[in-house]
This record gives sequence, C-alpha cells and structure tokens, in this order.
Amino acid sequence: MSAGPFTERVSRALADARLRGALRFTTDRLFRMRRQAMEVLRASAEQGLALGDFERVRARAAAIRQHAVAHLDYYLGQAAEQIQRRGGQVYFARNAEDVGRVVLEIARRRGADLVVKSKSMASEEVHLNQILARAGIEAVESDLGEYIVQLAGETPSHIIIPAIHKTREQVAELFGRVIGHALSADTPTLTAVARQVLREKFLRAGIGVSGANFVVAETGTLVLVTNEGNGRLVSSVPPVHVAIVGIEKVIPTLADLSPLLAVLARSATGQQITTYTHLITGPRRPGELDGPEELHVVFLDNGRSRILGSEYEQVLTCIRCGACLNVCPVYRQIGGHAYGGVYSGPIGAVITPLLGGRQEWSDLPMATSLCGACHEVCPVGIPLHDLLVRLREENVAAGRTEGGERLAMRLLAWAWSRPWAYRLSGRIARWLQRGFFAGSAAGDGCWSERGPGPLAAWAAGRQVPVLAPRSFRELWGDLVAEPAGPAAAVRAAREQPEQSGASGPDGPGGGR
Amino acid sequence: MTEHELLTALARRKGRERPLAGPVEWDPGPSLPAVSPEWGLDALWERFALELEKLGGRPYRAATLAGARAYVVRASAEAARRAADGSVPPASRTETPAAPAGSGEGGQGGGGAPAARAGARPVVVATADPAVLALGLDAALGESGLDLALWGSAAPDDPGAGAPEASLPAQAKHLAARAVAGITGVDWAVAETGTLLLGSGPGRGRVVSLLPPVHIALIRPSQLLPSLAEAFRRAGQALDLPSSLVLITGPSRSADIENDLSIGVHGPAAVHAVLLPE
Repeated sequence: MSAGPFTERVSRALADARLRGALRFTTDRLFRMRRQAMEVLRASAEQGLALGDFERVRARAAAIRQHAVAHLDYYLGQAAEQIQRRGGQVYFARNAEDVGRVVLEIARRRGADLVVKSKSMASEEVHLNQILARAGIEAVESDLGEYIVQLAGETPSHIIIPAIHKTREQVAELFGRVIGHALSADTPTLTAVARQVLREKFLRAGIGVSGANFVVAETGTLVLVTNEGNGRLVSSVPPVHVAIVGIEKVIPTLADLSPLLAVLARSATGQQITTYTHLITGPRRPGELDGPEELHVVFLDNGRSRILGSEYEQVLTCIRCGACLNVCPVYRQIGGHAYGGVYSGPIGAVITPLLGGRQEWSDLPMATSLCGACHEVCPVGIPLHDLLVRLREENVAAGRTEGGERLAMRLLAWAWSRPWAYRLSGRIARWLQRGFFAGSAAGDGCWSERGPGPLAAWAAGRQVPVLAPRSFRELWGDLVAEPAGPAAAVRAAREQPEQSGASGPDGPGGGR
Repeated sequence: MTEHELLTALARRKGRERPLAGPVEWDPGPSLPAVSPEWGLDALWERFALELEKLGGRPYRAATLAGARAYVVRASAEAARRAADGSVPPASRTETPAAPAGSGEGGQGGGGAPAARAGARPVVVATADPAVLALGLDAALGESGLDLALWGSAAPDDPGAGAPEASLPAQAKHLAARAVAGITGVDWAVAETGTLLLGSGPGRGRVVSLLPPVHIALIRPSQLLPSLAEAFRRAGQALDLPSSLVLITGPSRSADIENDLSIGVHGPAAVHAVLLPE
C-alpha cells in the first residue's frame, strides 16, 4: 500500500459528509456510555460488588494479559491440552492457507455447503469467507452489522458497530433484495427480517464458525461474547463448531475472566456486561441433546509470534474492545475503511503494519495526532501512542520517508535545538502567516479555514490553528515586569477572557 | 504447523530454549474481591430486578408457588398471542418440516421436526430443571391452550415416537425453534447486573433459552448472588464446567442499524425472571 491509496481513501472519507456525521454520532454515543459505565463500576466497587474502579480493574486486567502473553508458550500448550481432554480438536495455523485447509477438510468430511459465522476478527484476517466461496461453500455472517456489510459486498468500518456507514434506507434495500420485496426502513421490520432469514440459515447450516474473546487455559474454555445471541447460536445449533482464535487470546484461570469481562463490555459499549457471555468447554456430552457434536479450535499465528518478545509485545494484550477508535481524533474523522486493513483506529495503525508488513503499511503510523487518548481509555493500558512513534522511527531508519519530509525535519531539528533560531522561526512564521490569514474566514482569530503551502492539505479537512500574535516567551517578559509578579498577572489574565495567548497552537485542536 | 513447532518458536522469542513445561507461578486471587457483601434476599432481589428492568427484562417475585405458576402461564399465553399476531419476531416462520440432508443430524431419519399442523396448539418448551418440574406446569398450561414439551422427551404432537434415536437432537432443535416460549431454571442469578447463569446438561438444553422469542427463567432464593465476581468464584470452584455455561443479561439486543436499539434479532426479545418463594 503506497502513500497514494491511503491518502485517496482518507480524502474519500473526508468528502463523505454523511459518513462523518455517522462517525461523530456513533463514537460520541459509545464514548458517553463508556464514561457512564465507569461511574456505575465505581459505585459497584464501593458496595463491594466489583474489584474496584476503572483504574484498579484495568491494572488487574493489564497484569493478567501481560502475564499470559509473556508465558504464551505455557498457557497455549495448557489450553490445547485441556480442550483435547474435553473432546475438542486443536489445530495450529501459521497463516490463512493453513486455516483454509483445516476448515475445508472439516466441511468436506461433513458434506457441509452452508457455514454460519458470528463475528470473528481472526477469520476476517485470513479472509475465510473468500476461501469458502472458492470451494463452493456459502458463508453467512450472522452479526446484524456484519450481515449488512456482507450483503453490500463491503468490509466493516468499526470493530463493534460494523455497519456504521450504512443508512437504514440502504439496509432496507439490501434486505428487500434478499426476500424479494420492498421493505419499510423501520428498525423492528428490518430486525424481524434479519431474524427470519438468518434463523433459517442457522437451522440448516452444517458448520458454525466463531472466534473467541478469551480462552481459559486452566479449563480449556472458549469465551464468546455477543449482544445479539449469534455467538450462542453458531456454537449451539449447527452440528459442528469451529472456533478460529488468535494465539494471544489465552488467559490463565476462570477467575481472571472476571476483571477482563468487566472492562471489555464497559469499554466497548458502556454495558456492565455483554448480553450473552458463552463459556464453551468441549463439545456436546453424553446425555445432551444439543450443542455441537464436534468442536474444532484453530489457533492462528499469522505473524503474532514475531511480535512476541519484541518492543511491540504489549499489542498482543489487546482485547479488541474498540474504545481507542471512539476517542481517536483521526478515526473519528476518517472511519475504518480509510485504514485499508481489517483493524482500524489506533490499534489498527499499530498491528496492521506489524502483522501485514511495515513497508506495505508504512502510512498507517502517520494516521495519529499522538494525543495519547487511546492509551488513556485502553482497558489493558497499551501505550499505543508510544508504539506509533516507534513505528515512525522505524520508517525513518529504513528510509521510508520522502525527501521533502526528511529535509524539513532536518531543518526543524537544527533550528529548534538553538534558542536564537527557535525564536527566529516563530517570528518568521508569524510574519509569513500575517499576509496569508489576513481576511481569512477565521472567526476568533485562532483558527483558519485555509492554510498556506503544505498546510493547504491539512486545511482541506479541518481548520488550521493560527499562531498567536505574540509568543508565550514574549508575554512572559511582560508578566515578570508586572509589580505583583507573574502569578498575579496570570490570574488577572485568566479573569479576562479573549486573551490571545489562551489558545495557541496546542489549543483545543484535533476535532475533539 | 505442529503444536511443538509453534510453542518452541514462542519460547525462543521469549529467550527460552524450549516451551515452559511446569506450572507457571500465578495467583488468580487478586482477580476477585477478597469477600462478597452479605446481602439479604430483599436487597439482592431489589438490585437484580432494578438491573433487569433497565435492560427491558421483566422481573417478578412470586409469593407462593401457585403465584409463580400463574405468572408463568400468563407470560406463556402472552408469548403465544404475540407469536400468532406477529408482534414479536416469530422464532421460525419458515417451518422446516424435516431435518434437511447434510445437517448431519438424522438426515435419513424421516422423524425430523414435528411440523406445525393446522390448528396445532402452541408449544412451550422447558428444561427438566427441578425448579421447573416442581411447578407442575403441564396441566396449567394445557388449560390455557398451550402444550408443554419437556426437553429430552418426545414432542407432544409428534407422532414419530418410533423415530430413530439419531434424529432426537434434530427433533429437539426444531421443536425449540417453533416454541413460543422457553422455560428454564438457573444455576445462579446475579444482583449486580441482572444476569442469569445457565449451565447445560442432560435435560437442560442450551437452545431452550435461546431459540424461542420469549425466555422465562425460574430462580430459587438460594441461587441469588450479589456479584458477577462471586459467580466466577463459584464457577471456578466447581469440579467441572458444563459443556455450555451462558451468562444472560437481558433480552437480545443490537444497535447495528443507525445506532437504533433493536431487540430480539437472534435471541429472545423478552426475558422474564421469576423469583420462587423460599
């Protein structure tokens, strides 16, 4: 993926006013619900019901995930052994090809021509649906959002709400095509149609495919959370259940599930717990009339083992909640498709280059303001902004930057490590912008709709911050000269609104 | 790739010659609060009911066994009415007359699912939990024009009593798919979040609480726990986990169409939780 397509995808997204409206609405809603859920968690902790407030629970969640990943060889082995002891089959897949071979072999042996799937990022990573389609096997996504996206022939744009970019009218048209007559676009009608169509698929399918949110090593238990119930259906109704699971999903014990589930649902959707949490320990047992006759667990590497032991190891602790997407000033503007990979947002900008190739995906680590909001909300405390900087450093070291950028950075490094040159650069910039911003549409003198030179590209999608007429350094000189000293002067300045220095280049930027 | 290849590769990435074999030192203790609060039944139920109602679930505290029975019959009759007039999404409008070939379950059996016959009475499916059996629902439901099918026994209007054993799972599945309501007991119920925990087992089909559009759960007072953490503590202490243990918190929900809440897209659209008398 060269610079071209990425910037093209971004431009396309930025030009889509409806998409940007939907993104803002959805991410705001999820963020607000997350914050409320954290307050409920604190109240529950005070009643002795929960382990503690968000910070306390997330510290524990992070410790569990880091411990499990650091001892992945042990816990993965233990999980495999326990799953087999309960009658499940275990496979280890290096890549997409390996997963395809395993799943197609099961389908061939069972004579299955229909597969129902609940959302699985691992299976999207290996494009399982295409592998099945090539073999003449129909694969149906059963998560409502994923089903919509599949019917439209598109890919998910948000990890939790995949069809964030579709309107209800578009959904009504897609569903209408499936059942052969026009539909009204109200939610109950569309929901009922999806239930009816997909229910028939569930009852007819030979194989159910899912991912897993966690695998408890001690008991060999797969944990599958869904709000709609499709995760339960794929693992209960078809005669065969195949789970495709990233190798990093293991946790030590059942007790460790408690804090992880507590932060997962709250971070993802602001729920205290997801509607359905399904703990699956082996296939159907003697005397049981339902549940799958066969359980197959495919542990997928697909580049994860290369991350282990590297400076990026902590990304393997990710629990795929999507909270970092909702707070990211970049994701909130461009949405998931612009990232081009299976994973989007800050976590996607880190793991897509790590799993898919740093050269091919060298643009993604640039899709960040490095504000650190992603780290702040991450339920397992992954320092995503640090990892993005490291990936950028690798790009520079490997010469994956353009000549102009290298020159500009060298110039900045030279100038800003010399006080006199730094001061001079500010004066030159303020002098240059005076000509340009005079008469610009900026209402308060702090923001501009247009930008000079390289800032023109920036201004195409957002406002450009305008440098204050006087630098902080210049203001400071005056403040010290005040009889009562700088502190009193700052207090006085605060009481006076509209201070020009109050919203400099680091003001409330980034669209948050 | 073999397990040994992968585990060895992982071990080497962590600077180990071969995969760790012995137990790794890990204390799961700090994952749960040291103690759970000792709440009385009233406090437990009050919180449970509050949380379930917030999610659109319907809690009911029965003073007597007869009261519980009457509530379950009322809820079942309502489910049957709504299924008939289509005001809740029906479990399976497109009736599957027999298990299709290739489903791997009794394809040749011919027993298949009991078809919905013209004039056939609505079916309520129930697990064989002690709490369900103790309620004596069969006659009470029958008086309201409903048939009760206990999980694991033949369907009430299914003439295929002599159907091959292999098709029993397929029969059970399709019976649950056309039932108007599913009645179950629970293992535990959690006050903190309004959550029901249901384990699978003989007589305790996992689809009873999943396929019908309405789920009615019966809770014994001793099954109410204060917190999810306490439920995980109990589950962790159990000798053996069932093949399926599900935590159910309210009706099936989705926000995938324009962020608009939609209920019952896959699982039940209505969840009743009935607290039985002590």
